[in-house]
Amino acid sequence: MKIPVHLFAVCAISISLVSAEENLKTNDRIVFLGDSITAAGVRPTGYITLASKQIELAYPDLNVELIGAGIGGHKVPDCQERLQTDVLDHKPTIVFIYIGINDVWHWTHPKVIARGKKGTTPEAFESGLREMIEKINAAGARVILCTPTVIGEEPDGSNTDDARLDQYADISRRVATETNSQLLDLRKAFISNLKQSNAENLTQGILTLDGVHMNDAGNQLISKLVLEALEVPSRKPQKPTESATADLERGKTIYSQLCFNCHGPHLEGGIGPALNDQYWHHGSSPEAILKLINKGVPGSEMIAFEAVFPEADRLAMRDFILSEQEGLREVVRSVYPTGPFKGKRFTPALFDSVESPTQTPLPENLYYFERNKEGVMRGRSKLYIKDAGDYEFSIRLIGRTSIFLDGEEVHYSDDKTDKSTHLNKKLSLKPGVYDLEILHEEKPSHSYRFQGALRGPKGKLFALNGRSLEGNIPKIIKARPAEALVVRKWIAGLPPRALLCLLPNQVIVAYNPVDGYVIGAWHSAEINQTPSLPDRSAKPSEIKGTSIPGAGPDAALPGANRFLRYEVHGDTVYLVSLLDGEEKTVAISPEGAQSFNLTVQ
Amino acid sequence: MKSFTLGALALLFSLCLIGQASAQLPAGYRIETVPLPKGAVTILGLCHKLDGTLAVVSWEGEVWEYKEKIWTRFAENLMEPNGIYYDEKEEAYYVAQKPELTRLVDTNQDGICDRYECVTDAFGVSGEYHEYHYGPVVDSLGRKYASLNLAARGDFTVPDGKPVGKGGGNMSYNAPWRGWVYRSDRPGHFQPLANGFRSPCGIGMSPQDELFITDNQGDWVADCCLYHVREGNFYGHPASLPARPDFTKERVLSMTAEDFAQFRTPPAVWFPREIIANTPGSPVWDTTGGKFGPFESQIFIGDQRQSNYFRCGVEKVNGDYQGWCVDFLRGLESGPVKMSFDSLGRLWSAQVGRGWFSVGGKRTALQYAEWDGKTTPFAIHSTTLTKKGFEVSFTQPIGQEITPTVKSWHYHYYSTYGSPPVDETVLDVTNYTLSEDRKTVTFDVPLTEGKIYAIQFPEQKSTETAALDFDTIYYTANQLRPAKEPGPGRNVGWDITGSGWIRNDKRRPAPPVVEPLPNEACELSAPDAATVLDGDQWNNSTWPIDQQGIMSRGEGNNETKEAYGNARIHVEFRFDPSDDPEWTGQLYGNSGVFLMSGYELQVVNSHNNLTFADGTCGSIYGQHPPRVNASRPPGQWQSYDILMKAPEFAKDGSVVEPLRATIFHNGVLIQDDVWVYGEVGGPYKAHGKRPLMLQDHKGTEVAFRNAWIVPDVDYDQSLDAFRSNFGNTPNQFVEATASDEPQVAPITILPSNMVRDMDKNADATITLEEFLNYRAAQFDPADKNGDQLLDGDEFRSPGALKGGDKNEDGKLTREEHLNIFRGQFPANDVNEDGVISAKDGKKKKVSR
Repeated sequence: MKIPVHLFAVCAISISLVSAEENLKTNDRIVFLGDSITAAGVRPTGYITLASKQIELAYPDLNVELIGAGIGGHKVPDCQERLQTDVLDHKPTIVFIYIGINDVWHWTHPKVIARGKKGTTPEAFESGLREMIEKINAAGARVILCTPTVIGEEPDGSNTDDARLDQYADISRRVATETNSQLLDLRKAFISNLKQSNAENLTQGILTLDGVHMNDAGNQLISKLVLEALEVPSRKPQKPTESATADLERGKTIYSQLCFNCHGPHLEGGIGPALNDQYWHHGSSPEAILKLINKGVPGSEMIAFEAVFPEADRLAMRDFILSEQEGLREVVRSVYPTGPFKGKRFTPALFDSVESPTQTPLPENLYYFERNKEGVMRGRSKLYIKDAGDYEFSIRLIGRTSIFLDGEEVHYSDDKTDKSTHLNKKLSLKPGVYDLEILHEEKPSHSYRFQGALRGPKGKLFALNGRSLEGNIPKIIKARPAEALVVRKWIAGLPPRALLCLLPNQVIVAYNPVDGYVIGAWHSAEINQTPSLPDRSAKPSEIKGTSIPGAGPDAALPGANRFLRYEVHGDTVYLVSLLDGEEKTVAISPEGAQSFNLTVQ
Repeated sequence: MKSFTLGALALLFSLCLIGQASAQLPAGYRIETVPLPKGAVTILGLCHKLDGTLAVVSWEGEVWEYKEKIWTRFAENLMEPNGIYYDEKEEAYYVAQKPELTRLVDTNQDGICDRYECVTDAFGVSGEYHEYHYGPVVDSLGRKYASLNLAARGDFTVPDGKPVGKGGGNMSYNAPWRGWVYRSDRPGHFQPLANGFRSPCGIGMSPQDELFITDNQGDWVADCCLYHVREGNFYGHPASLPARPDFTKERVLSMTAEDFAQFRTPPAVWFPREIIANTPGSPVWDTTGGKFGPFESQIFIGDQRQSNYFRCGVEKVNGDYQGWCVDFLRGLESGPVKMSFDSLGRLWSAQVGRGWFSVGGKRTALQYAEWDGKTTPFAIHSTTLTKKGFEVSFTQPIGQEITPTVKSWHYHYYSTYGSPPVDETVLDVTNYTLSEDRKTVTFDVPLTEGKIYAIQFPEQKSTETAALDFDTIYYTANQLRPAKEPGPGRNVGWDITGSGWIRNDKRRPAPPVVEPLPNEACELSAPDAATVLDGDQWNNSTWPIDQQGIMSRGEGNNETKEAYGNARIHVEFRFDPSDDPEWTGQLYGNSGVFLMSGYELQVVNSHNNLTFADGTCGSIYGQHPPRVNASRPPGQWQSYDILMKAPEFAKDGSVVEPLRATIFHNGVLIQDDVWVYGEVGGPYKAHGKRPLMLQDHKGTEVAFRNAWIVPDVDYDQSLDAFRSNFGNTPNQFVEATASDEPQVAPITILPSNMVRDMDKNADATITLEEFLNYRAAQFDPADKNGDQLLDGDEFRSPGALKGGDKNEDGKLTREEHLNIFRGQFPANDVNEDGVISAKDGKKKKVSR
């Protein structure tokens, strides 16, 4: 732990607020004093903004404030003049002084010379730095003094101003030591970085736009160095944990020997809750489910299995259960700045090399990409597959998109080269848990949003957009023993008003209350109610059964003019209409195993 | 200080990112989430019972009750119920299922619904997914109101010359009364009220019994908005117009946006898209008496996309409602569609994010917002239009006086999906004045009719230096303040009509003109049970009666000698032709048939003689205009056929049930089981039987003949049969069209929807060709695998398949398929006259 000298005085009162390991403390106010590089640092992709977001991520509770105080063209004497108003008046606790470029550059900058102006002498540069540090320390803040970065990006010392820059950087280094200030040697870091990244000895375009002002990579580098100086831990978004190879068979074996006793052979529940639906008392994430297997539920028959099975088995149990609920889990969407991706093919490695300012866990396990004004997106999830077979990615989109499954690119499209908005990719998949990544760039001008689906064998469909696990499980509706049931559901081919009378003998009679017609009847029948999601309205459900010949269409109540009500009493459905001012009741009840009886009273 | 500002911006930016996940709540308010029961997958509606029970309905068709933190399922297997209301008196729920308004009754009090009653299904539903049915809401007389969505695709869109689906309209009218709002007074009653709605997802009843609807932007709807619904008005989406008897589909397609604009009613409040709303839900009024904070009587609406609650207020300017909206709170879990205040003043919402993405992210949620009872949040309270600008009120005294920024715009009215703001203009603000209590600001801006005004107070702080959560209020100025506001108008009887109009309102649309039935069809002779009202039956001898029994208007009103209650009445009347310009409007032949001496069925010439709508011939004067104007020219005999039920009074004289009447004018149904709100001259006064009366009124000559009355009929028993008089068919599945032809009795041997599809020329006879064309058209849709053959899965009638499969390959060719139906034709042509018609009567009853 590093606590600057001047802070010892306040240590006694701030100790309760500062955790022993952290350098930053509650309500820290950090001012960045500097030139145009710092002025641009507060832009959305600027280094101050990037650092601010990372600090917020690492220390959401500390309320640290970052304040930009950069003005283009400023040198040390200019900063001295505005030190009070632009720095000290903010009552900072930490001040970064990142100055020197113009002090050097203005000796050689033709436009500056043309105006009869010049740079700062080494003496004025040094005394100016010392004066500012003294005043800042006197105001109770500490200084982190930065060396000037670069004027020209050639890493071999061949830029025009390199010699003078090194001279001024040395002054800064000495001043830092002699004033007990922390040094942030940006120049050293830049040169060392450029030696790696600028093999072609370019003057600009690696970390800067023009040799001086930072591009996205430059801003990211400075942000990283600033965070290091502040000892802010780098908290990258958590990658989905690498689970053990999905040994679903092993999980299934354990389940069918043990778990089924309480949770049912098909995970449908029994003594214990169902594991094939969307309701999880203790959390639905893979972590939560694993934790529950490990720790059990005190006071119940669900014991702590960490004492029983090795970890690999417990993971296998968890993955088996999740694979029975095939689909996506833990979808996280990250938004990245566009700059680093221009002209480059999307790969997870490329995304890994760039900091993402925002990571959003997407609710309900669905991918959703916004039409983004300034960003490319990365969505990551776990994909649970239960059945081996041929799958197909079917995608409708505009925009650059890559899809990676377990690190392997399974799809790439580019709206410049591929104008098609419908793309398909066949895959042969085995049961297991896959890491699915979708890398996608969507622009406001695009008329479609990303829409995708993974189609599987047996008509399986995993929507990558709009898909949710909840509510996606088809429901079979049957009459209970000895009790009829009336269902109103949209069935393809039947009028939307049809009332479906489900009789206890598994006969279904479809009755149209509007005109008193029996439309049809089926024996050995049940209603397969399609999941209500993800469509805007329920998709048609279907009657599964055998049509009873001759059971309609026939008028039970010819000329019925107004339907009044229905009721169920025992195994009989009573449908009442008003016919010529008189109430008429159509009673439908089971007859034998495969028929029904209809009477009109 | 440039550097500081930039720094602040950077911070603001990072704060915004953090804010995405958390709520934006006014000071003193909090949001609570209530866990839903297993099975309630997406909830669409909610309501509260007086005992504190909360009920919700789900898209999946279930009704759940929540009491003392316990959920119980009350009903299931309904079809997409989209709203719920609990009637305390009847102890029953009302839900708007997709195909039916339904009453759910728990007859044995075991907490589970056991009787499902059809309140009305008199509107069409084609099965297209977007034909949602929202409601009901209820007025103080207990009458139910619900709204009907258009279909998202179908064969009747109104593109107005633009390519369909690409800028030229997409919502379709697939079935009767889609795009309408209706009222149902009692089971079996269906009264279409107003049309021109696109996706009227929000429906609300103000404490003053005024109906409001919110609609969603799309084709013909420039932006999300709030309408004040007045009976007979058209609100802008022309696809719903064919249900009106004065329009046909052809006529609608021949019209342009300019034509529709002539008679459309603009919204009372526009909700700027993306800022306030994208999919507004149902409005509710803060009647909590201050329990929900300082916004008493304001309108609260939730938005499905924005996951927010926003506030609105309306005021009458020149007799019409218009008003403002301002955002209120954000950060709900899903998208609120229906809301309800509970008795503690907490604002609950049923939220859904399925189908249309909601910012909240979750697919469904049940949440309420609660006020702490003491903190006054700093907010723009409301605004009102002044003669020269606006007056804006704040909830707290403001600090620094900041002149607002005011911007105005308007919208296109066209068939294209949504409109951008047009002519956006920043306006000069002058004469800024702050009230002494520092809570009200007035200022002047240049005002133009038909504009939306965004009034923004950037960085306005209170004296306590609190900042505004939302600094902009939006006002819709359809009209500017007139020199003098019109008076409230006279209302007789109950102070509600549900129509939105005042008595004799000249702005109320005139009923559409239709052709009457021919005279021969209307001159009904008295049945045996009737009392013929000849000369002996009338009291006033100054009304002369000639040899043919024609009675002319005399001096003073003319009552029957007998008193009557429930009755079936027939009367014929005639106006003398007149060219005198002095004798027009209400003076052209004015008389009246006064039911029970007090309830006036207007008698006046309405053939080419305009007057206010509720004074048209056939109106219940001052209350209900006739549904259509079926008048004949003066000089010709006309008829009224009336079925009426006398009002019922309690012992204390209060009304138990008002007078009900169903009336035909010249054989056309003009009043369909309406409730009469009071006597023509004043509110109900309890009475028993009273004479029928004919009115003496200033005006040109009126004569009567062939009057008869069947006393003491059973109204409810007779109603359905009476409605079917003159070949009239109930609303369902029949599109009313103006026609010279007498109506033909409908075919009953086939289902009515099948008849509609078969009978292409609508002549109520089905030829063999029509019958087979209908069946032939079913082949291709059935042939799922496109192999030009129908197998057992594709043709699900094994018996018929076996019989028709002549080559015994288990499949039907086109010809085999058609031959099956060729064989069925004679079975329906019972009288063997070669066509299927009404004469083919009824099939034999099914017995099994």
